Amino acid sequence: MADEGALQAAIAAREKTVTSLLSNPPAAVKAALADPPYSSTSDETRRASAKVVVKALGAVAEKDIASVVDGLSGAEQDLLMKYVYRGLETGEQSTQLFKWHASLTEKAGMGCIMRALSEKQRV
Amino acid sequence: PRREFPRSDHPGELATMSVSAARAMFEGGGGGPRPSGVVPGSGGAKAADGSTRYHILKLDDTTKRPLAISCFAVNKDGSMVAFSPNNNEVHLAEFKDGAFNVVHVLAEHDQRVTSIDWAPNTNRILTCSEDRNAYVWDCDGAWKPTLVLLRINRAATYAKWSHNEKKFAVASGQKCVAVCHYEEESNWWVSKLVEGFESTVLTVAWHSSDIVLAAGSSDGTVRLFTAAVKGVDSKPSQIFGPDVSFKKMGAEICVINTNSWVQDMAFSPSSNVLAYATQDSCVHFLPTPTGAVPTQEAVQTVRCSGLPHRRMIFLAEDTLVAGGHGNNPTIYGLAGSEWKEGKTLDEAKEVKAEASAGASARNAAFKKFEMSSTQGIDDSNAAAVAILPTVHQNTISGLATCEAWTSGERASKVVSVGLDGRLAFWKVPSLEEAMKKLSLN
Repeated sequence: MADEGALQAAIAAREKTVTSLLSNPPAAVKAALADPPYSSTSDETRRASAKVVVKALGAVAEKDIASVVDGLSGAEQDLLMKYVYRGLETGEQSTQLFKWHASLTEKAGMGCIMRALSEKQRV
Repeated sequence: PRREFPRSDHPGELATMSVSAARAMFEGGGGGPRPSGVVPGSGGAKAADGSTRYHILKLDDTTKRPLAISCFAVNKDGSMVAFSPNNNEVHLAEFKDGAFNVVHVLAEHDQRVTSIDWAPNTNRILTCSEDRNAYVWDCDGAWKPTLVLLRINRAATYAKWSHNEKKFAVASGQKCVAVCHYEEESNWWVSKLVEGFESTVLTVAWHSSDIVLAAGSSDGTVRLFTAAVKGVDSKPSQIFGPDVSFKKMGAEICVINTNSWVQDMAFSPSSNVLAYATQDSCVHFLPTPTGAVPTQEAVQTVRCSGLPHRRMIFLAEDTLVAGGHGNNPTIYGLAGSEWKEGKTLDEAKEVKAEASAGASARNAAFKKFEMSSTQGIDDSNAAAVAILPTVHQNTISGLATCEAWTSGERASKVVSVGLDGRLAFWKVPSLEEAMKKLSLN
């Protein structure tokens, strides 16, 4: 059902886009959030996807986090929260991810956390 | 179970004490034994301007702590409420002179009562419980129960009268809904089970025609199906298109998928919109105009900023109030053609923790253990986090309004009850007022 190859190719393409946009952090984050691999059945694919997002998040300076979050739509904020939890699973760059978590919670509220935890489509 | 009217010499029994005594208890600084269930100096039952912030419906007999209200209903003129203090009993309380007095205790169920619905016109109470039964209570002096054999093997979770009050639907853990009507020949309420769900059905809502029933389940779906009963309903017209003859009772009209458990749902007064709240902190609005089958694409989803809602009711065609784990009733209003989240009814101003007046070592000790058991706080510095700024200290488990509080098409007053045992009255703001959000987004 899920073509892992196609999904992985899409993730690789996304990574390229993000790398090229790293100088424009808000755009990089938006690009990283595009096309989440919902239908993937492989953990590896999902980890690769999360890596791309964390990379984009890393490019944003701490003082800009709030404004980047502001620029995201409600759906994108929920998706980003899901990626934050995914990223926290690995234990890398957690300080930074927690800052994103705090900013997202401030903007989108506890509802955002609920949606990240309870939605059937896992990222 | 005790059936007699609860009496107590203890001044802490708010359910029985007079209003003036209650006032003296809260407004006086110290003096007199304090009910250990109510934290002294917490703002108690009275707000700064003297209006009552909340009422406590029932105190436990031994510990004198407020009992959680698991379900709730109001009668037509708002003079009486029916509630269950999270056990197998249903208490009927009269609201007189600004206080609640329990006047009847309906104790027929064996297990926890999960839902109460009060039919406004026929004045019958419908209760259902985890004991797999439902009772219809009639009043002629005393309240008399009539058992309804639902023929289910799992708990009943939710019960609702139809608009004409001749039928009712009971949702159950047996993945089905029991649609019941009264059969004259056998003098008995008869149930027909509607299957099709994949998990516990948590809530039902009747379309204003009483021919279509919507049900929401923990399998994440909302299903609409026909529920016309021969002998009770007149020949059904086609509401949404498909044939709704009597033979096809329980025929599915449509299935709407959501991402999470459907906690509660309600049709708008005109039944043109079906609103439902899901556990992922979203409130969805499905347009259900007559003539066309409702579709998934038409659903409008409002992402809530707070925790998921457990209960919701429509206050007007364009205003919905929902409350739940956020402890705060929130308004959702229709702005043009889009539903949006509005203000919360509780301003939730920070309440100063524990005033020093009357706080003795004994009270501090009481509070410490109370906090650790009710809120899981194990900190000796508990005073700082003791009280939530909202009136409700725990999940809101019921929202209700009644005809007496509705003027024209709009409810002006709504009441909420919670698992903290508190009942609070709320004045409903106008739509413009409610949609004026002061927040950042």
